Amino acid sequence: MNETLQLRVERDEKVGVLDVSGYINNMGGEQIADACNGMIDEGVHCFLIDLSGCKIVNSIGISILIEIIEKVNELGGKLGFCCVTPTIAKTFRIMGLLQHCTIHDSREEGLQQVSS
Amino acid sequence: MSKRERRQNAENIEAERSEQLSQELRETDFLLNQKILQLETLYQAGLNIGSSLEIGQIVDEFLPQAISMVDARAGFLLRKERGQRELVLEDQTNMNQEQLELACCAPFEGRLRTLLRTGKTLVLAQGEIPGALVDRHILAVPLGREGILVVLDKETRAGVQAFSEADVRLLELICRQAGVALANARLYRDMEEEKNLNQSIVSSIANGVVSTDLRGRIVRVNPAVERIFVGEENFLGRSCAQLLRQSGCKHIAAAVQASLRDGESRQIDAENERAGSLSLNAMISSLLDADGNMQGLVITLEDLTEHHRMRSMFKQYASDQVVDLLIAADSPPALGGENREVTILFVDLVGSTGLLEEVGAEEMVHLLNDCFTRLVDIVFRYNGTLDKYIGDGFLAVYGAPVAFDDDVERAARSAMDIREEMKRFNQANRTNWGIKIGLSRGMVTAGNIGSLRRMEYTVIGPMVVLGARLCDRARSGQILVESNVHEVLHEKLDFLSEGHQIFKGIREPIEIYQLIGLPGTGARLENSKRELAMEEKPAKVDLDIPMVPDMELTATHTAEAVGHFMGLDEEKIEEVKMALIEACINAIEHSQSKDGRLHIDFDVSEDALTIVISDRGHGFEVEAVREKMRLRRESGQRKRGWGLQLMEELMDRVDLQSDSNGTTLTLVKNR
Repeated sequence: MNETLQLRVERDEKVGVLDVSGYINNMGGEQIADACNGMIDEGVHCFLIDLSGCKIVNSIGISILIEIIEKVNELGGKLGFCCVTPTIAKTFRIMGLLQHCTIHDSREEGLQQVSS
Repeated sequence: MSKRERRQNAENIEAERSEQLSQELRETDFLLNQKILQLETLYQAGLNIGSSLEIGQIVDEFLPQAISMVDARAGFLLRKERGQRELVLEDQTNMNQEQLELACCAPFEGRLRTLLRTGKTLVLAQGEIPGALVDRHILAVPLGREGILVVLDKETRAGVQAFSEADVRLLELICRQAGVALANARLYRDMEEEKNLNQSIVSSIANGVVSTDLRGRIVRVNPAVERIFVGEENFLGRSCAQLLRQSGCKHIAAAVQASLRDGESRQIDAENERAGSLSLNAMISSLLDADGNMQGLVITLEDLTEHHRMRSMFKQYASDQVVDLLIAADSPPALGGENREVTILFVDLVGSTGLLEEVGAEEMVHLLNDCFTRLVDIVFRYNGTLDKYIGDGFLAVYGAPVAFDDDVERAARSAMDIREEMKRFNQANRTNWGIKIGLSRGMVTAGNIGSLRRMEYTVIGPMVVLGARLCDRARSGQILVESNVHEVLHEKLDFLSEGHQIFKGIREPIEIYQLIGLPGTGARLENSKRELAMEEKPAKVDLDIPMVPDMELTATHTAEAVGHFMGLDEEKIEEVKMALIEACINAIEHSQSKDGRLHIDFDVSEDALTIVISDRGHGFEVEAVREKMRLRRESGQRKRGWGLQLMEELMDRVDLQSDSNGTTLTLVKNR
């Protein structure tokens, strides 16, 4: 059984927004990383990842997200997550992501934070 | 004879002749004056009777003038109404009762009828009519077809005489005029009566009735039109089509104009006409005169605004039968709020959420809609009211806005049918959704509640809260009811006691029952009570999956189903799934299992869910690996090696055993 990640990307000059639905495993993580890297190459350093369609992640996928977070922070940018389930938020906390990125209840709040 | 005598004689003769001439002149003068008087009287009488349209007034004017005109001593007037046989005495002068009674009897009465039929004046000499009229000269003249004038005994200086030919001609002349006047008065009276009758009929019609002329200008409206077009005034003379357009009824307005052009009848139904606040049915017909020529239009307007408002408000919440009862009710439901006894039905789907990531949003919506359609149809079938959808469930009410005597039983049977329907739904869609139902009965406040921008007909009160708590407390497949429901239905349906239970927000313990079903099913259930309630025999699920990427999702789906089965809340289920994923991917990545299989046992007990994941890999040093992971994290390497820590943080207990025969990981999540 394959749970393919669905990824929709929107961007303006400053912020890239990724709508993620599906299972963030290693392949899903790679897809997200590729999308972010592409935008980083074009000068975007702020990202909001909307996880309202995502209910399951695994630690391999999260580890790939960590790489993106590190890269964005090195560039002086910001990366935030929004609409995260309580369990995924707990997982992020356990894995220490929250020290280097933010989690927001809503997309609007997340956009405001990462673009400021 | 001497000359003087001859002269005297001639003078005498001359004097006699002069006297004779004078006499003749005086008589002629008298007759002329009489004729002049008669003509003046005739003229005046004609003026008087022609100026009135009231029968009584005409008779009052006419009879004395007619009697006077021919110097009659007495007279009376008989009138005949259309469609009636008898001649009715309208008025009399100088007649005694005996004479009047005779006039209405045979043979005189018969001769009067003949007169009326033939229109020929009747002159009767003395002695022709026996009895009280035997010595009277009688002249009877028809008043057209309206009646008869009878005058008796012409009075002259020479005494009572018969009426002359001149009298007959005079009276015939005036009676013709009187007959026309009486006919006009009768027609006018009949027309007024008809008009008043039509007016009262039209006024009593609840529908609006508008009549127009050929140009479409309003000539008449009934009171209902003023009720329909509230705020409008001065209808007469206005363009009917324009009035309708201004009120938002543009289709009816267009139909009016079309009917004015072609004279065709048209009907416009309310479904096509919903603008502004009016909802009208309209029937447009041509108004024709006696020759069939079109004079205008008659438009009947049936105001369905209130009906539509009521139907629109309730059609999404109640069955057609309930809505029809609401519309037909003498008093509409108290939308502002009323206290009433109802039965509350709370329904919650189990296991639907977990399917979302598998099938996607569009398919999920399709499945939920199919499910809700089936279940809400059952609510409507039992004349319940759908109060609202709440997430994966809904609230239904039995007893508001329309109450039936057997609302409690209807609610219970709905619940049982809903449970059965879920089985058919699962079979049709290859799903494994469960259902939990709570039923409560008692007083609630019902009404239109909400803000001015959005209101819903709903119920509030402690019984509503209890219904929700019962639904929440129920296990999948259970219908939990409280004692008020059991009290009504315990003789008709089978229940199992669940004892007294405490619910959040409710001070006292509530006696709870499980609704099993029709009589007899409770006994059968007792035999399999452990299986349903899991009191002595825990459930077990064994899963054997290949160690390939993403196969861990099979394990998470099973974990979700088991979690719902045992009534775990959603957050705990998600934590179990996350931990299980880590366990599986660790095994898939590191175990190097000989058979490439991962075995997962799900064990449900009264206290907890225990998942045992085992493989036949080469095993590892557990403590050495723990230490390695700890050092890596402390050195700032955050990316990998989080699996075990995640499992330990997400589960209540983790036990890891590993040797050269394989690894066994036990994850425990308490209820």
